Amino acid sequence: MAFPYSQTTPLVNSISAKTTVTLQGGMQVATIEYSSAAGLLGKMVLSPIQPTAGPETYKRGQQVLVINQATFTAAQGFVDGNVFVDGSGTDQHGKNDTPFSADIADWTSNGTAGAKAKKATAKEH
Amino acid sequence: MPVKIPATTGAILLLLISSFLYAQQPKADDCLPAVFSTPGQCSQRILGDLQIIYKIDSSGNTVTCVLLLNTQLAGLCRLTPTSSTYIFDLVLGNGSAKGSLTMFPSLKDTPGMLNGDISYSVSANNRSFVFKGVLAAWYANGISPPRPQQTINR
Repeated sequence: MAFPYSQTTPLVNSISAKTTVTLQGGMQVATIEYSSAAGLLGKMVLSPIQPTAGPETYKRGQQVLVINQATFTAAQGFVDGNVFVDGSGTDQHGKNDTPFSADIADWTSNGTAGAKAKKATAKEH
Repeated sequence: MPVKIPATTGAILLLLISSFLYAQQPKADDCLPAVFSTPGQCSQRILGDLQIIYKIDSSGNTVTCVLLLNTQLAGLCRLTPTSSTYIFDLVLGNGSAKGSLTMFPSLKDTPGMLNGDISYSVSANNRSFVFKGVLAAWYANGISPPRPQQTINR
Protein backbone atom coordinates (compact mmCIF):
# COMPACT_ATOMS: atom_id res chain seq x y z
CA MET A 1 0.00 0.00 0.00
CA ALA A 2 1.38 3.34 -1.04
CA PHE A 3 -0.95 5.45 1.07
CA PRO A 4 -0.63 8.24 2.15
CA TYR A 5 -0.89 9.78 -1.32
CA SER A 6 -0.14 13.47 -1.72
CA GLN A 7 -0.71 15.83 -4.65
CA THR A 8 -0.39 19.60 -4.93
CA THR A 9 -2.32 21.40 -7.67
CA PRO A 10 -2.29 25.13 -8.42
CA LEU A 11 -5.81 26.58 -8.53
CA VAL A 12 -5.87 30.26 -9.62
CA ASN A 13 -4.03 33.46 -8.64
CA SER A 14 -1.21 31.65 -6.83
CA ILE A 15 -3.64 29.73 -4.62
CA SER A 16 -2.80 26.06 -4.48
CA ALA A 17 -4.50 22.98 -3.09
CA LYS A 18 -2.60 20.15 -1.46
CA THR A 19 -4.56 16.92 -1.13
CA THR A 20 -3.32 14.15 1.16
CA VAL A 21 -5.14 10.83 1.09
CA THR A 22 -4.59 8.53 4.05
CA LEU A 23 -6.07 5.16 4.99
CA GLN A 24 -7.93 5.33 8.30
CA GLY A 25 -9.47 2.06 9.39
CA GLY A 26 -9.58 0.88 5.78
CA MET A 27 -11.25 4.11 4.67
CA GLN A 28 -9.70 6.63 2.29
CA VAL A 29 -9.70 10.06 3.92
CA ALA A 30 -8.68 13.12 1.88
CA THR A 31 -7.45 16.27 3.62
CA ILE A 32 -7.30 19.34 1.37
CA GLU A 33 -5.22 22.34 2.37
CA TYR A 34 -5.74 25.57 0.44
CA SER A 35 -2.83 27.95 0.67
CA SER A 36 -1.54 31.14 -0.89
CA ALA A 37 1.75 33.02 -0.60
CA ALA A 38 0.47 34.38 2.72
CA GLY A 39 0.06 30.90 4.16
CA LEU A 40 -2.70 28.40 4.88
CA LEU A 41 -6.18 29.60 3.95
CA GLY A 42 -8.24 26.62 5.05
CA LYS A 43 -8.65 22.88 5.32
CA MET A 44 -11.35 20.41 4.28
CA VAL A 45 -11.68 16.74 5.17
CA LEU A 46 -13.53 14.43 2.80
CA SER A 47 -14.18 10.70 2.98
CA PRO A 48 -16.86 8.20 1.94
CA ILE A 49 -18.92 9.19 5.00
CA GLN A 50 -18.62 12.91 4.21
CA PRO A 51 -18.10 13.07 0.44
CA THR A 52 -18.95 16.74 -0.15
CA ALA A 53 -18.09 20.04 1.53
CA GLY A 54 -18.96 23.68 1.04
CA PRO A 55 -19.94 26.41 0.51
CA GLU A 56 -16.98 27.89 2.39
CA THR A 57 -15.24 31.27 2.11
CA TYR A 58 -11.65 31.81 3.19
CA LYS A 59 -10.04 35.26 3.42
CA ARG A 60 -6.53 36.37 4.13
CA GLY A 61 -5.89 40.09 3.76
CA GLN A 62 -7.59 41.16 0.54
CA GLN A 63 -7.42 37.70 -0.98
CA VAL A 64 -10.68 35.75 -1.05
CA LEU A 65 -11.13 32.07 -1.86
CA VAL A 66 -14.64 30.69 -2.28
CA ILE A 67 -15.23 26.94 -2.48
CA ASN A 68 -18.78 26.36 -3.65
CA GLN A 69 -18.40 22.62 -3.52
CA ALA A 70 -15.69 20.02 -3.06
CA THR A 71 -16.57 16.45 -4.05
CA PHE A 72 -14.76 13.24 -3.14
CA THR A 73 -14.79 9.86 -4.85
CA ALA A 74 -12.90 6.97 -3.28
CA ALA A 75 -10.66 4.82 -5.49
CA GLN A 76 -12.11 1.38 -5.93
CA GLY A 77 -11.27 -1.37 -8.33
CA PHE A 78 -10.48 0.06 -11.77
CA VAL A 79 -11.87 3.50 -10.97
CA ASP A 80 -9.45 6.11 -9.65
CA GLY A 81 -10.36 8.21 -6.65
CA ASN A 82 -10.54 11.95 -7.07
CA VAL A 83 -11.31 15.28 -5.46
CA PHE A 84 -13.17 17.83 -7.56
CA VAL A 85 -13.52 21.46 -6.48
CA ASP A 86 -15.68 24.24 -7.81
CA GLY A 87 -15.20 27.86 -6.76
CA SER A 88 -13.30 31.06 -7.39
CA GLY A 89 -10.36 33.00 -6.04
CA THR A 90 -9.00 36.54 -6.22
CA ASP A 91 -5.42 37.73 -6.31
CA GLN A 92 -3.71 39.20 -3.23
CA HIS A 93 -5.28 42.63 -3.91
CA GLY A 94 -8.79 41.21 -3.94
CA LYS A 95 -8.99 41.67 -7.72
CA ASN A 96 -9.13 39.42 -10.78
CA ASP A 97 -11.69 37.03 -9.33
CA THR A 98 -11.15 33.86 -11.36
CA PRO A 99 -13.39 30.81 -11.32
CA PHE A 100 -12.20 27.22 -11.31
CA SER A 101 -13.93 23.89 -11.53
CA ALA A 102 -11.49 21.04 -11.76
CA ASP A 103 -10.07 17.83 -10.36
CA ILE A 104 -7.28 18.65 -7.92
CA ALA A 105 -6.16 15.11 -7.08
CA ASP A 106 -6.55 11.60 -8.40
CA TRP A 107 -5.17 8.35 -7.10
CA THR A 108 -5.52 4.61 -7.64
CA SER A 109 -6.84 2.08 -5.13
CA ASN A 110 -3.20 1.20 -4.38
CA GLY A 111 -2.53 4.76 -3.27
CA THR A 112 -0.36 5.68 -6.26
CA ALA A 113 -0.86 8.58 -8.68
CA GLY A 114 -3.91 8.17 -10.91
CA ALA A 115 -3.93 8.34 -14.70
CA LYS A 116 -4.68 12.08 -14.83
CA ALA A 117 -2.02 12.97 -12.25
CA LYS A 118 0.53 10.89 -14.17
CA LYS A 119 -0.35 12.67 -17.42
CA ALA A 120 0.06 16.05 -15.72
CA THR A 121 3.54 15.20 -14.45
CA ALA A 122 4.53 13.76 -17.84
CA LYS A 123 3.58 17.10 -19.49
CA GLU A 124 5.73 19.08 -17.05
CA HIS A 125 8.88 17.20 -18.01
CA MET B 1 10.96 -52.47 16.20
CA PRO B 2 7.60 -54.25 15.71
CA VAL B 3 6.15 -52.08 18.50
CA LYS B 4 7.10 -48.86 16.67
CA ILE B 5 5.21 -49.70 13.45
CA PRO B 6 1.69 -49.45 14.94
CA ALA B 7 2.67 -46.24 16.73
CA THR B 8 3.91 -44.61 13.52
CA THR B 9 0.86 -45.81 11.58
CA GLY B 10 -1.37 -44.42 14.33
CA ALA B 11 0.35 -41.06 14.20
CA ILE B 12 0.04 -40.89 10.42
CA LEU B 13 -3.64 -41.87 10.59
CA LEU B 14 -4.28 -39.22 13.25
CA LEU B 15 -2.56 -36.61 11.08
CA LEU B 16 -4.63 -37.66 8.05
CA ILE B 17 -7.91 -37.57 9.98
CA SER B 18 -7.19 -34.19 11.54
CA SER B 19 -6.18 -32.66 8.20
CA PHE B 20 -9.35 -34.13 6.64
CA LEU B 21 -11.50 -32.62 9.41
CA TYR B 22 -9.72 -29.27 9.02
CA ALA B 23 -10.40 -29.30 5.27
CA GLN B 24 -14.10 -29.95 5.96
CA GLN B 25 -14.48 -26.78 8.06
CA PRO B 26 -16.28 -23.93 6.34
CA LYS B 27 -13.71 -21.34 5.30
CA ALA B 28 -15.75 -18.19 5.24
CA ASP B 29 -12.61 -16.24 6.16
CA ASP B 30 -11.14 -16.92 2.74
CA CYS B 31 -13.09 -14.10 1.12
CA LEU B 32 -14.98 -12.09 3.73
CA PRO B 33 -13.40 -8.87 5.00
CA ALA B 34 -13.05 -8.32 8.75
CA VAL B 35 -16.37 -6.67 9.48
CA PHE B 36 -17.70 -8.75 12.36
CA SER B 37 -17.81 -7.37 15.89
CA THR B 38 -17.10 -9.53 18.91
CA PRO B 39 -19.92 -9.93 21.47
CA GLY B 40 -18.86 -8.68 24.90
CA GLN B 41 -16.60 -5.99 23.46
CA CYS B 42 -17.17 -2.34 22.67
CA SER B 43 -17.02 -1.11 19.09
CA GLN B 44 -17.97 2.09 17.34
CA ARG B 45 -18.96 3.66 14.07
CA ILE B 46 -18.36 7.31 13.27
CA LEU B 47 -20.68 9.08 10.84
CA GLY B 48 -19.70 12.73 10.63
CA ASP B 49 -20.63 14.50 13.87
CA LEU B 50 -22.30 11.33 15.17
CA GLN B 51 -20.38 8.64 17.00
CA ILE B 52 -22.24 5.41 17.74
CA ILE B 53 -20.61 3.31 20.45
CA TYR B 54 -22.19 -0.10 20.94
CA LYS B 55 -21.64 -3.10 23.14
CA ILE B 56 -23.11 -6.43 22.13
CA ASP B 57 -24.09 -8.69 25.01
CA SER B 58 -22.16 -11.98 25.06
CA SER B 59 -25.45 -13.77 24.28
CA GLY B 60 -25.68 -11.80 21.03
CA ASN B 61 -29.27 -10.77 21.83
CA THR B 62 -28.87 -7.41 23.51
CA VAL B 63 -27.08 -4.29 22.32
CA THR B 64 -26.39 -1.21 24.41
CA CYS B 65 -25.70 1.97 22.43
CA VAL B 66 -24.35 5.37 23.35
CA LEU B 67 -24.74 8.14 20.80
CA LEU B 68 -22.36 11.08 20.96
CA LEU B 69 -22.81 14.25 18.95
CA ASN B 70 -19.62 16.29 18.59
CA THR B 71 -18.09 14.14 21.38
CA GLN B 72 -20.92 14.87 23.84
CA LEU B 73 -23.59 12.46 25.12
CA ALA B 74 -26.85 12.86 23.21
CA GLY B 75 -28.53 9.46 23.04
CA LEU B 76 -28.72 6.15 24.87
CA CYS B 77 -30.46 2.90 24.06
CA ARG B 78 -30.69 -0.74 25.00
CA LEU B 79 -32.00 -2.94 22.24
CA THR B 80 -33.45 -6.36 23.02
CA PRO B 81 -35.42 -8.84 20.90
CA THR B 82 -38.66 -7.46 22.40
CA SER B 83 -37.69 -3.80 22.06
CA SER B 84 -35.47 -3.80 19.05
CA THR B 85 -35.87 -0.29 17.59
CA TYR B 86 -34.60 3.04 18.89
CA ILE B 87 -35.91 6.15 17.16
CA PHE B 88 -33.98 9.35 17.77
CA ASP B 89 -33.86 13.00 16.76
CA LEU B 90 -30.76 14.54 18.31
CA VAL B 91 -29.31 18.03 18.06
CA LEU B 92 -26.25 19.42 19.86
CA GLY B 93 -24.71 22.69 18.77
CA ASN B 94 -24.24 22.53 15.01
CA GLY B 95 -24.44 18.75 14.99
CA SER B 96 -27.61 16.79 14.38
CA ALA B 97 -28.61 13.18 13.83
CA LYS B 98 -32.04 11.80 13.12
CA GLY B 99 -33.24 8.30 12.39
CA SER B 100 -33.45 4.87 13.92
CA LEU B 101 -31.38 1.91 15.07
CA THR B 102 -32.78 -1.62 14.77
CA MET B 103 -31.25 -4.77 16.22
CA PHE B 104 -31.72 -8.26 14.78
CA PRO B 105 -30.57 -10.86 17.32
CA SER B 106 -28.03 -13.50 16.44
CA LEU B 107 -29.75 -16.76 15.49
CA LYS B 108 -28.33 -20.25 15.22
CA ASP B 109 -26.91 -19.87 11.73
CA THR B 110 -27.19 -16.17 10.94
CA PRO B 111 -25.20 -13.29 12.36
CA GLY B 112 -26.84 -10.68 14.56
CA MET B 113 -27.13 -7.24 13.02
CA LEU B 114 -27.49 -3.62 14.04
CA ASN B 115 -29.16 -1.71 11.23
CA GLY B 116 -29.24 2.05 10.94
CA ASP B 117 -31.34 4.52 8.99
CA ILE B 118 -29.71 7.80 9.89
CA SER B 119 -29.40 11.32 8.59
CA TYR B 120 -26.25 12.86 10.08
CA SER B 121 -24.60 16.26 9.85
CA VAL B 122 -20.97 17.07 9.10
CA SER B 123 -20.88 20.63 10.40
CA ALA B 124 -17.21 21.10 9.40
CA ASN B 125 -18.27 20.58 5.77
CA ASN B 126 -21.58 22.49 6.01
CA ARG B 127 -23.34 19.33 4.88
CA SER B 128 -25.64 16.55 5.94
CA PHE B 129 -25.60 12.96 4.67
CA VAL B 130 -27.66 9.79 4.94
CA PHE B 131 -26.68 6.30 6.08
CA LYS B 132 -28.97 3.32 5.49
CA GLY B 133 -27.62 -0.14 6.13
CA VAL B 134 -25.79 -2.42 8.51
CA LEU B 135 -23.79 -0.67 11.23
CA ALA B 136 -22.55 -3.84 12.88
CA ALA B 137 -22.79 -7.62 12.57
CA TRP B 138 -21.70 -10.35 14.96
CA TYR B 139 -21.74 -14.05 15.64
CA ALA B 140 -22.58 -15.52 19.04
CA ASN B 141 -23.60 -18.75 20.76
CA GLY B 142 -20.45 -20.64 19.95
CA ILE B 143 -20.68 -20.12 16.20
CA SER B 144 -17.21 -19.29 15.01
CA PRO B 145 -17.04 -15.98 13.18
CA PRO B 146 -14.84 -15.56 10.14
CA ARG B 147 -11.36 -14.55 11.27
CA PRO B 148 -9.45 -13.00 8.40
CA GLN B 149 -5.84 -11.92 8.67
CA GLN B 150 -6.30 -8.21 8.18
CA THR B 151 -7.93 -6.16 10.92
CA ILE B 152 -10.04 -3.10 10.36
CA ASN B 153 -10.34 -0.68 13.28
CA ARG B 154 -13.93 0.14 13.96
